[in-house]
Amino acid sequence: MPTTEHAHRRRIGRRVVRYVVLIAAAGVVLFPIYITVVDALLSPQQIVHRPPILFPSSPRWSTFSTAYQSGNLGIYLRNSAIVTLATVAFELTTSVLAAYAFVFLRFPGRKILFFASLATLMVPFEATIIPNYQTIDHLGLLNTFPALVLPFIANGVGIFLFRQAFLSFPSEVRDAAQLDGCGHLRFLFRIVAPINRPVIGAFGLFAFLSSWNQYLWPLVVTQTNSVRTVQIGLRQLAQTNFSQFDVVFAGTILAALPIAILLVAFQRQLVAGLTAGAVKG
Amino acid sequence: MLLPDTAVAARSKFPLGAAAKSSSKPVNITMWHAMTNANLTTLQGLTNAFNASQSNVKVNLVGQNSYTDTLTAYTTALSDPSKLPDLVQWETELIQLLIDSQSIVSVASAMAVDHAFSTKDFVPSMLNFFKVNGTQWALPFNISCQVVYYNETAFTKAGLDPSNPPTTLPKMHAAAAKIVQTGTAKYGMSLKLDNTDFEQWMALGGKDLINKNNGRTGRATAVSFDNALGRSIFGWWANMLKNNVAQSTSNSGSATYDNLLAIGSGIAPMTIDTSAALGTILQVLGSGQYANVKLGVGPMPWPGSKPSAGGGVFVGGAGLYIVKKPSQASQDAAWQFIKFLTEPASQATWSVGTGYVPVRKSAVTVPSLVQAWTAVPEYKVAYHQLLTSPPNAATAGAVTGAANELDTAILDGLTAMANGTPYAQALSQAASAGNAALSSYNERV
Amino acid sequence: MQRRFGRRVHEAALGYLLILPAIGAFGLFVFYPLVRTAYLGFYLAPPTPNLPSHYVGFHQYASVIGSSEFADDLGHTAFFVLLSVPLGIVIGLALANLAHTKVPGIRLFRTIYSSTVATSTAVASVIFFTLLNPQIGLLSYVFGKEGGNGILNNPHWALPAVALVTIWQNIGFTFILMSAALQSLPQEVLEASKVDGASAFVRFRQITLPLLSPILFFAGIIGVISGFQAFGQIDLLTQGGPNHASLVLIYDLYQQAFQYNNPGFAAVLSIALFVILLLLTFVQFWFFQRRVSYAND
Repeated sequence: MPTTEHAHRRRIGRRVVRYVVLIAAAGVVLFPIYITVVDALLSPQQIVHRPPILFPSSPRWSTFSTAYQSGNLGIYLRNSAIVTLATVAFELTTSVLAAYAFVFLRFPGRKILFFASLATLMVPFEATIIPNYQTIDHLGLLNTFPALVLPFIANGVGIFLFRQAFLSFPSEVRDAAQLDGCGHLRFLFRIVAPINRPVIGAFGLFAFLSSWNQYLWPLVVTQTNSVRTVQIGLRQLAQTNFSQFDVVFAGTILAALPIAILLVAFQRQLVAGLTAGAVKG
Repeated sequence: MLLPDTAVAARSKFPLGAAAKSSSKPVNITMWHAMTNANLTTLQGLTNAFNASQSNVKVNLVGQNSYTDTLTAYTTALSDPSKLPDLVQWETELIQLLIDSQSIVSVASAMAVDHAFSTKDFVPSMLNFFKVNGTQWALPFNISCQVVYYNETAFTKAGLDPSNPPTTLPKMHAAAAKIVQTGTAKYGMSLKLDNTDFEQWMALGGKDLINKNNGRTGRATAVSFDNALGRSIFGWWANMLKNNVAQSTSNSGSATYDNLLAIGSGIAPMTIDTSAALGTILQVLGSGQYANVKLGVGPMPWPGSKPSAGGGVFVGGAGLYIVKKPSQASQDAAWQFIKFLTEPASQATWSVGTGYVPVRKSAVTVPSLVQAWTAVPEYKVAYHQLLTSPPNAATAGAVTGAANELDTAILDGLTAMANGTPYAQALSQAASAGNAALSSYNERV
Repeated sequence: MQRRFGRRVHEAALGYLLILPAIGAFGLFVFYPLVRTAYLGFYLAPPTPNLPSHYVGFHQYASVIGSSEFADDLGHTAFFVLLSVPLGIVIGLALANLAHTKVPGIRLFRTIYSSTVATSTAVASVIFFTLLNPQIGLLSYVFGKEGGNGILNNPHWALPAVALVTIWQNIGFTFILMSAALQSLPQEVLEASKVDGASAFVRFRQITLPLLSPILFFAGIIGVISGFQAFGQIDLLTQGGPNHASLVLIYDLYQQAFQYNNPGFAAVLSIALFVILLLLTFVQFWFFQRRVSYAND
């Protein structure tokens, strides 16, 4: 590679251009988030001030407390936590148990039942929402936590993933354990599950995100703040307080914060989970 | 399944007096309403007065915040009738839907046995709205109609007579044109994209909106506004926009007040909106924010160049309905409260506190109302319009279970016209969409 | 022999027991509702739920599918998907390519580009709803469009605006996906092409892009499927308006079922959406199988 002055300057020029583009793109992506944080710390009058105020000289941290209390974000976050943790717990349990049965146990109709579980992936929630609403209504469970959790206690993705993982479990270990008199459940909980912690964790994260971000179903089955999850709670906040922009922005941050923290903590699993099955090789 | 009201009426009389004879008094009843802010405060005051004045009935108000939310809550409750209220304030144009739900007791059946009660004092046009196929289903409660709002200061500046707002559509066009010509404002008026004004102009022109006498002698099966009158209204509207003497404003969300804000900001000093907004408008003006505005209120203009025979406005707002609950005492209790709320004294208090027009003619002699109307004569415009509206099918207003869909069809037509579609075509589109809405409703009933 | 039979019965019983919760849930909340939705489509729903419904066979399916409302719904949905998915992938790929270097500080940029992955639909939509407010929204100010009805109330720009919000919200996810894909490309091939003296654009077009095509296709199909299901942003930004300009299939479904008390109509829309998504999923599987077999050649 000829290292003349000319080539060197071209390389620096290209690098400058690259940085300019990087910064511009970062600005576009970050701008809404930046404004959200800034405006959450301004007063409503400062928010509507023109020319726009882009940095809070005297940040109003109390707005977060307002959003948490009178804006009810505290309640909404609690509700989401309850619903999501319950949903993930159920999905993990039912998927692990079912996957174990599909791999290690023999029973008539095993293949059909497994394909039925897979087939649920073909059925979008919108195709079933009306009767599901009617079912919940007839059970008298409208506007309750069970209404938010029950339709999701099982997940075909989980069954598929765990079955894949369990299938690759060395059969010699299984045979040895059987000879040792290890029953199925013990085998599952003492050996199989712990070894498959990564995939269980990845699915757990995926299930957590799916449940936390749910919108349409909570919209339809919840009517009061006592059970509203954070996505619908945020909607409620935005529609009933739309002139209190600072509180709305603060509420948005509070709603996004748990996920942001979670994603930072589990970013490796996140990348693995998001790209699983997509990228080959 | 609930039986049709006529069958019940044939079998049993309205249980008048059941509340007073009830073994557990006071009879507690729930009223669902859609009032907020000042209207809610006034309603609560009247309710407290009623509860305190007697020991047979105790009314509990439950606010649904809007007519739409009331509709949603009520139709949901229909699946579980124990959740229905005893008495409901229900938006005028959804009357047929409520009748078709077979869940209400007509006030006619109560009036048939309550010989002490008379409807003679009610303003006929307001009473008429709630009469379908010969049966008086409800009594009017909070009534309003469309009026013209304008800035008298701007009128003077443009060389128009501030005490004489335009009384016909051609004159309205001329006034708007003059405002623009003289440079008084960018536009002569704001025309909110809303089906109500079109429907009112049909009624003012003395013509039915839909067939079967506006749906009052049978289920409407087709619209009847795709005619010369409908075309002249659409044509006028299109011309106003084409000649840039009027601007379109939106009816969605918070933008629904843009036409009123335009008067304040000076962009367009005239518009048409509901008389129910008058109270709020005066409040905003009173804060001094729009010192350049001197508010004038005028009646809806006639669609032609002169008043149409048999033409008049129809009511907006809501009526009070008795819900068919199993308990006879609660039906009677609901009737007692309805009578109280529509008494002249109550109507005067209600009108003063909210800006709705009184439904009783003698309410205008009550001192508090006389005082309020002397101080703010603008309130009288809507009342006078409704008082002088001749009773016939056209001015009674259209009733159909597909009211919302019909409104949407007309609104879509207006929007298409505002976006450039030739007005005759836009009107036909509205008519065919309206026909489709009516027939699919009739299929479902 | 008997003991083995007994053990087999025991094993089967345990098997059924372990799958019972999942299969039970699927039966009650997936399969039964799917059948019932199809069944609901055969009945004209009464105006209020306490009245009887009328059986009409396929009449309702025919009238809904043939209606201009359905055609409009499909049109709006297709427009939304065609606008948001390809553009979203292109942007994600461009950013991933941009950040696929070893310049100092690149980690910070990569974090920034991934950041929208922390925003849910509600979070992103509420932020943009406020920013696009015609009176006080900062974005309205920046684009000189203050006052008036605002972009979300403009029949021509409402749906594109919703699409842009969707693209923004998905930048993080698409960026991460494309970055992982770029990192998984065989580096020797790329290095070799650099030595050959090919320009950056040519390299990208002739070598990188074909190698990326499976993942691009995967992202596309996933994007289209979720695009058809996009609901929250419509609900928060436009509610299907103004005047149905942004009424997509799933929002019409929601309104018919839960606001207009017409579950019969909504059921037909449900089944239509199901069929469309099923076809798209088959397309995904079929293409993916073909790609995999090509790659293996």
